[in-house]
Amino acid sequence: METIREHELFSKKDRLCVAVSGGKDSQVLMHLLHANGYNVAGLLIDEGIAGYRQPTLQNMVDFCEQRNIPLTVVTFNEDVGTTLDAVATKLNAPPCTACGAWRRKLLNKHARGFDYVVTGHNLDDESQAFMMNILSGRLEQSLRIGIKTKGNGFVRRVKPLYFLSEKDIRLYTLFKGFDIQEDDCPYAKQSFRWMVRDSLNDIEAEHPGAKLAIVRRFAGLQLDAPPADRHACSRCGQPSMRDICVACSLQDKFVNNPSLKIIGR
Amino acid sequence: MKLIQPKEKKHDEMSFTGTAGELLKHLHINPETVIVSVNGTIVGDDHPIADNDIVTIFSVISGG
Repeated sequence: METIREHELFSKKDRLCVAVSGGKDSQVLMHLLHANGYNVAGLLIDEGIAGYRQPTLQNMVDFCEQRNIPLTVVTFNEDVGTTLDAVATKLNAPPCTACGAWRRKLLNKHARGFDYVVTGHNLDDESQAFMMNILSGRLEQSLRIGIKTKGNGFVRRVKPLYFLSEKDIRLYTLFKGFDIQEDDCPYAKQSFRWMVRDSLNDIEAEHPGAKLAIVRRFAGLQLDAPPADRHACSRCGQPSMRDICVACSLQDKFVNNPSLKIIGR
Repeated sequence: MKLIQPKEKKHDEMSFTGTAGELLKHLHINPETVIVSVNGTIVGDDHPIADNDIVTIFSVISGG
């Protein structure tokens, strides 16, 4: 709540679309916003990962029903035309790239009409993203994300858990007795993020405060960063830095032309 | 002591003398990635563990 006030993320008059998965971050986020009187509705994207998404989806349905919070569930299968499981077997790369691009697209599409999209990104997620961008030579990408985006054609995104560690959030779920699915996404271990997460946890154990130092440093730089040069994707109309956005490119290659394989990341 | 690791779905009996932090070191678990509870109470790294204790190690990491 302090982060919401200090960084003027949103007010109680705003309509908030809370992007949820049913995991610990989204349960804590939804609980805190709802308990403090914010105007929330949930949006859950079911990627189509057998055995993994269904339990967290059910957790979130129950969680929202108990609190009388509206929840919309959308699926890759209906919106993209395939499930992540179906794509994963045909990709020559970790499926996280396609998953991330399609999730962003669906989130933007279904959040239209809201004032803000609120996500459960925490200190660990953000410090990992910064390190991944540095290690991939895409430092400028880190300057365009942050605790509150500038919009640029999307509904603005805000991250109230930005300065809270994954450990603090898990601790809160234990104190509150929330039903948490502890399983990892079956594809996550193939991702670059997984490797960076392990490394950052090793560093944090030896140098407490390292994650916070990374995030605080970049949060300061983001304030002065110019907005990205975006224009409308010629397929879906959503803001993109290319003529055809990544989500549509992947959809074209896989869903519209399944004989083609997606090569590289 | 009885050791429970819900994420790994593991229940073990083992003999151990030391603190919660030393137990994690013994099990090669990074303390950043877990929360330890002894007999239902969440404890810090310096909490001593007795032979008849029930120790639960909750994973902090889940999801994608």
